[in-house]
Amino acid sequence: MNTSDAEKYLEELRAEAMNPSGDAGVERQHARGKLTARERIDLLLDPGSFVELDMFTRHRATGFGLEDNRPWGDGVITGHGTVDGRRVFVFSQDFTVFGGSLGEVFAEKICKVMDMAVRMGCPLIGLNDSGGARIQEGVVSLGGYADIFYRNVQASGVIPQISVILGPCAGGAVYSPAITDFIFMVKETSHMFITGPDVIKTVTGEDVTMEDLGGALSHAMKSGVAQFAAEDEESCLDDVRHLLSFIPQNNLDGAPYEVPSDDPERREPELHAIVPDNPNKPYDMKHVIELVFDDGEFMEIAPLYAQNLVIGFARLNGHSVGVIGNQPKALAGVLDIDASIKGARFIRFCDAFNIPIISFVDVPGFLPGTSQEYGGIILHGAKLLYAYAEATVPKITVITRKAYGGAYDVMNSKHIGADFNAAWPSAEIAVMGADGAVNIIFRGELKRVADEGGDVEARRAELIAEYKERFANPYLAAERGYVDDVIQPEDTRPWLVKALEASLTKRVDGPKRKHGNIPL
Amino acid sequence: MSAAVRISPSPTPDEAAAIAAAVHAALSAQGGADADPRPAAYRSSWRRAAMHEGVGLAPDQMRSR
Repeated sequence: MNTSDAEKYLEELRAEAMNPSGDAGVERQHARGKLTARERIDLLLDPGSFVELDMFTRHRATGFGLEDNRPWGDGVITGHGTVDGRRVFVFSQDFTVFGGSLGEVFAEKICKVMDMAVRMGCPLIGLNDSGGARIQEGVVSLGGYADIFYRNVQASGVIPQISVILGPCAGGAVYSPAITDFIFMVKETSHMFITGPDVIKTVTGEDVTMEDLGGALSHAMKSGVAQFAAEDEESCLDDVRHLLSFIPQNNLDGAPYEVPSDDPERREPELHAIVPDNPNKPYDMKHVIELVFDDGEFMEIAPLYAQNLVIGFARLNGHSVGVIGNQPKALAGVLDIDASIKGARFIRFCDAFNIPIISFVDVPGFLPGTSQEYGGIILHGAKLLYAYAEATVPKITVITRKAYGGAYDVMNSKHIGADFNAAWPSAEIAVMGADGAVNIIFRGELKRVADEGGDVEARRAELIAEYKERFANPYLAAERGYVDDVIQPEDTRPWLVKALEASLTKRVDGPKRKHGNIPL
Repeated sequence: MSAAVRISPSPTPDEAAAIAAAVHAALSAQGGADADPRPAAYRSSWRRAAMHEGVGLAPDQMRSR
């Protein structure tokens, strides 16, 4: 073969590898309402930036007729490219080749691109669309999964890992996404489960559809496995790009900075009246967040799960920050098992990747009840406490209203290492709400009034008013330095900007250990 | 480089490139158009040390990696 023929042969091979299942395979994929593996990469990355690796790999398996069917690429596309000019590594499983099933070579390709992402200090994005293990390859497939899981764990906290589920992801395959930092799904076309509807029907007799069992909304609302449930693949991949704009390339990089256009000294008059006079009346903490941060932009994470705790990314005077807020609109902002887990995992991500954490506190306490106690709220609530206390990134707190009991301690109080804490004048920092406190402290007196035929409710109201005046305010905490200042709500943004910029050079060198033992 | 700048005697191309690079570096350090737009804290050795210590490495260990 002369040079010209060799070059021609390469182009023919490349054309074949670009479309291993032919036009019919592409049509079948589109008919399922899904994009092809290459179309997804094109949508995710900056135009023309993708550099493919291992296009000419093929499986080496024999038996079951596999030796006669050796498509180029073996069903997964790997490589690197850029998102908004920043390098990322990516793999994209091709459902049109062996149903995206994972065999030895398929796994080797993924492992190779994972190793590269760690070596180069770049995020890894996995586009998942796979029927599971390639059964014909037997235990080699299982070994391939484990090789990937091991690398997921080694890379955790070193580079951001993002999983995008764009088709089936079932059985053991789910554990790779589960270890990664964020999971994106698409309604109707993405499904994740350990055992499918047929097995469930056989084993337990339960009837459940694929969508109800492992669809995007089930995982985004009920299990908390997925943080995002998109309407379609285009918006899903757009969300991935947006998320990347807030997070650093690796654990030695700072969070991204964007030159801000919003005034750091902007006072926000609308905050002045946002907390209702009635302490039992809700307001929207997300609106507070939008009023405070740059240009009102807030990328909420897991918006459908544990809505009593809001988490997400925003920018403050150009600095990327993680934001956590109790949500009075949902369960009165109480902390429960789901909210504790949600918050703890987010804090640990921010801490691993040098993203400062800003907390907005309006928490009446932990949710009471047997379901919570039997479900382990003690352990799960401790996760949130542990995560806050362990984090060494800048930690800043604004108490807008209630900060009661143990939940006050947990929600980034000064005592567990917060750097700057402020309270609004409406803050109530106390062991419990006035009603409950009066019922306990003055039980004897209220009984005496009742026994004497007096007006118990009038006396109770007097005592509640006295308690509120004395304890339900931010000034007892301020006297002791538990909050650094009591600020007007409209001054929150300028105060936060100064607090954040003062703590950007924060340095904490804690005791050396292999790792702590967070109550998992 | 600004057209108003005159260097005499005329430098060789290599010398001109070196002078241009030096002037560019000096302007950047003073906050010229191509300067790092991030606040000074992002260039703080203290902050960098904090990030290294956060992963259990002393700053001097990082230099040898």
